Amino acid sequence: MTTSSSRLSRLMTMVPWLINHDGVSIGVAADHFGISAEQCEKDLWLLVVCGLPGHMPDQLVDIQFWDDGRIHVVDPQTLDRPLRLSGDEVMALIVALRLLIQVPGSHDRATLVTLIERLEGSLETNMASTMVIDSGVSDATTQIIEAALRENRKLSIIYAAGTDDLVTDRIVLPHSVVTSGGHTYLEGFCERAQAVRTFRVDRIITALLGEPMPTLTGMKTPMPQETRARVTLASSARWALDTYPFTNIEYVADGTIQAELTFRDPQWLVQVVLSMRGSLTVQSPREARKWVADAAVTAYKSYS
Amino acid sequence: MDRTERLLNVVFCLLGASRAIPRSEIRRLVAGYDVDASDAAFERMFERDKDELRGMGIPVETVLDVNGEVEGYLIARQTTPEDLNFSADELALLALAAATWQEAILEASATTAIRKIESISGDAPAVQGLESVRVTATDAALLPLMAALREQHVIHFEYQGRSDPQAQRRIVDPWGLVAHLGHWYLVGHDHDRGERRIFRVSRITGSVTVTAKNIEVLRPSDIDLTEIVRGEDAARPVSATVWIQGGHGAALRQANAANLGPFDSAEISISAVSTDVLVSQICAAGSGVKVIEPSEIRQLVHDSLQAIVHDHQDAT
Repeated sequence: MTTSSSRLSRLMTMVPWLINHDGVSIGVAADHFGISAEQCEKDLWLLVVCGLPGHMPDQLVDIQFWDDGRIHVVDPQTLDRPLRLSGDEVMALIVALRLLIQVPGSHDRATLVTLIERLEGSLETNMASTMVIDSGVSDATTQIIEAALRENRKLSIIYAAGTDDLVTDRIVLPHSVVTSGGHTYLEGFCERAQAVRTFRVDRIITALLGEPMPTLTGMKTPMPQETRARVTLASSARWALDTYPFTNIEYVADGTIQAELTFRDPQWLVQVVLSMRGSLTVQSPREARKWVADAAVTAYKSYS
Repeated sequence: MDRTERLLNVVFCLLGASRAIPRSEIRRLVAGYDVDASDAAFERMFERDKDELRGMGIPVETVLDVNGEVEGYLIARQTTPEDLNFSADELALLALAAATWQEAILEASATTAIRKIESISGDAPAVQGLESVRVTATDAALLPLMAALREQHVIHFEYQGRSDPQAQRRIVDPWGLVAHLGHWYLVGHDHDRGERRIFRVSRITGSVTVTAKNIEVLRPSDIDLTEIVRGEDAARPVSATVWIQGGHGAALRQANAANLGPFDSAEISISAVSTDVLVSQICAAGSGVKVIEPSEIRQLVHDSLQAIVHDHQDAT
């Protein structure tokens, strides 16, 4: 959106809001619209010079705000109520409501369904199911996690880790659900690791409710530090650039690509390099080259 | 004069007008159009303003006369306060939904939507719980794709798929967009291939052109877009038999042997969409998985591991 259109859309929603908040202070109005008090005053000055063509005094928007810093809309002209929701606005809400349905939590799913149906009904063409988010999480897992959070119970999960490709059995004391990069994660204290861990919900193979949780204090431990490895990518592996977190990408004349790959867990880095079958080579740090070499040698030995 | 001021004056001129306002009248009435400007300059300015307003979702309608000539323009209200009236519980969920767009492509639209609703239904409460739920959607191509879906128009774009040596122009009837595990996919009918195709939106290079042509092949009413995108993962013609060590090969187990006890070692059959992908998955599992047959896959895994050892061996 350009600067002028984002300002215009704010001005058009501002007048009806001000009518419903007669006498509101400039500071409170500015906070509501996420702007500074100075910008809010500028917006009000702009509104009062605009109006129906002809620009006779009774054809202009009339807002009083200069006496005591409190805002009174005297004559809103035709801006007294908002325009209807645009296509993008309705879609933004529908897509997000559909995402919320899939996220474990205490929010009321029946109301979400009602809202989605009502908003879908307001779209002109049959846009209803043209934009969807699929978090890949089963309803059964969602319900168990919700129950654990609601009843303060431990969770017993079998987890297929993406970082080291190992399947493990864990007892987790859940505390929240977050989403990032299109995946849903469960955060909680893992008894096995004796630290806070994040579990991708679509990789939880089975989840069972466990015993009630003890009261927890100060259990948050930081994520492992982010590290970068300097790597070379073959030109045939260009597709990997939008799959893994590469930065500082340089295209070399011979067609290869030099870049840095961000990682937190050495096992994850090793797994990515192995899966690239030789089209991704770690240059530095030397330690990272050794992790890859050790894993590749062990696997290779079983074939020779 | 400030551009915002001119746009706002256009809105006042056209909003709730009882008849179509001709261009000549708009030019004369709206403060901000330079009276001394040439006809061509005014036309350019007005076209841009009209597009900008429509881009914001303001419905500037073009009214045609009996001869099919443009008579004028107006912005119909098309709304009653009832349309934007929601209960307090509903409003809280809508605000939560709008907040998930933070830093994603429809953030501005979500914000404006909530402001419009708040001006009728009252202020939404502060978002509580699920504050860190976010929609992941940053591909710039999503906006024109959504517009094309809404208008049911043919689009074209340059696209480089995983196995394409270079980008190629694709002409597509868009049917829908699906976010699957963090990536957006466009499902539609590809004109040149004459078939349904799935495109990963991040692999569209350059911009998406929305043409003025209506789509030729409508979306069949009985298809489920999510199933189609998931099905792309599910079509797995290439297979192999491997030995898998207890607790290892988590990804392969989840995809191929859901019924096998997670800590059992066993010989299992695995499959993938292509030989390349299958070999990649086996390599990624390292020493936890070993190919038994066919010999072709076994040889490819052997060669891949050999190449990796060769490239990194000085570090052992």
